[in-house]
Amino acid sequence: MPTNSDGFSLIEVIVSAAVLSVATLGITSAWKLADDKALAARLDERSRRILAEYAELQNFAPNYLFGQGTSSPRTDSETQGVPLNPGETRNGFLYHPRRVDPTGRTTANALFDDAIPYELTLLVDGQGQLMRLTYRLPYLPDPKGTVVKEIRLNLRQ
Amino acid sequence: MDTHSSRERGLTLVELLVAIVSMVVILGAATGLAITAIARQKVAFDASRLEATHTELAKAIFYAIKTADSFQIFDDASSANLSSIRSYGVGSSSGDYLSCRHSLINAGGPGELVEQDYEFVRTSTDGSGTLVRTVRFLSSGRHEIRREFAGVIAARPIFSMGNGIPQAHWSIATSLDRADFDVYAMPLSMQ
Repeated sequence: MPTNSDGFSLIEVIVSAAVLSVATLGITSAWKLADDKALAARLDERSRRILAEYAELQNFAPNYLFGQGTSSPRTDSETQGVPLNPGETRNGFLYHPRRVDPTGRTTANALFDDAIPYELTLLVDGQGQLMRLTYRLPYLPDPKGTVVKEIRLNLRQ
Repeated sequence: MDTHSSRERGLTLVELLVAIVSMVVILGAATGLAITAIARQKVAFDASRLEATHTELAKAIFYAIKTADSFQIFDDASSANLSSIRSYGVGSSSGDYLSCRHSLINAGGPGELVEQDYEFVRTSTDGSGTLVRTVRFLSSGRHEIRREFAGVIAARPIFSMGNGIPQAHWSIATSLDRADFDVYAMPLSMQ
């Protein structure tokens, strides 16, 4: 009985430390999962928006714009308002995270990086034109992390 | 025997202090985790809400152009003010002011001429400002409806007729990242 009153045994300390570690790991994993899901939802919304924007452009752009080559494969200002030709691919970025200054200083004008590239391609199959947007989720390995979204263009066959 | 029984009756001061300090440390850590979690959720929520608001704005601009009987792009509000109820004034191929007019048919009475205006008010030289949406009822003279969308970034004029397609381009800076918005809308009356 007196020996029990002297303090905790090594096993008790190890078990309590293990329980605390598991709890901490669980909390941080839940945070990471929440962050990943939030990012996936944001990317899903943006990719749908890009497809909808380009669907309108592809369907209603004047005929003379088709067949024009663009000097840039990027979906930047140079190609704004220029529809894709069948088989053509354009690239861009779905996510532009705030750039964090390693020194911790904040500048008046926020800077943003380019992350999570996407590829937008206009395909032609037996049913007409199909616009395909592909990107990869950074927290999942291939092929599970590759996301493909498609929209069929009905008006311009 | 007396000494032994007195030790079993309660805790020593040191044991009590150690227990209290341990509890304070654990409670502090838990509170810190909770505060951090709430702050992270708030940042994510604010970013999502701002993006959702501008997605709604992009849809409003899309449908305003798409369903317009007539529309015009102006450099700014001063040139747009030269418009009359019958016709728009001289417009521009690109600018920070878009006006769309819709003739609404009312089965039970006179029709209504509705004007939806979108004006980008630049507040600083770096291209940031506020997009203001105003719905005016030109026929009936009802009170206008006005809504402001802050946090807009556009280095160039927002509205343009690039390649013959009415379009709008702007960005927003959330607490997490930057989101770009591109609207292409061919009016049904022009198709």
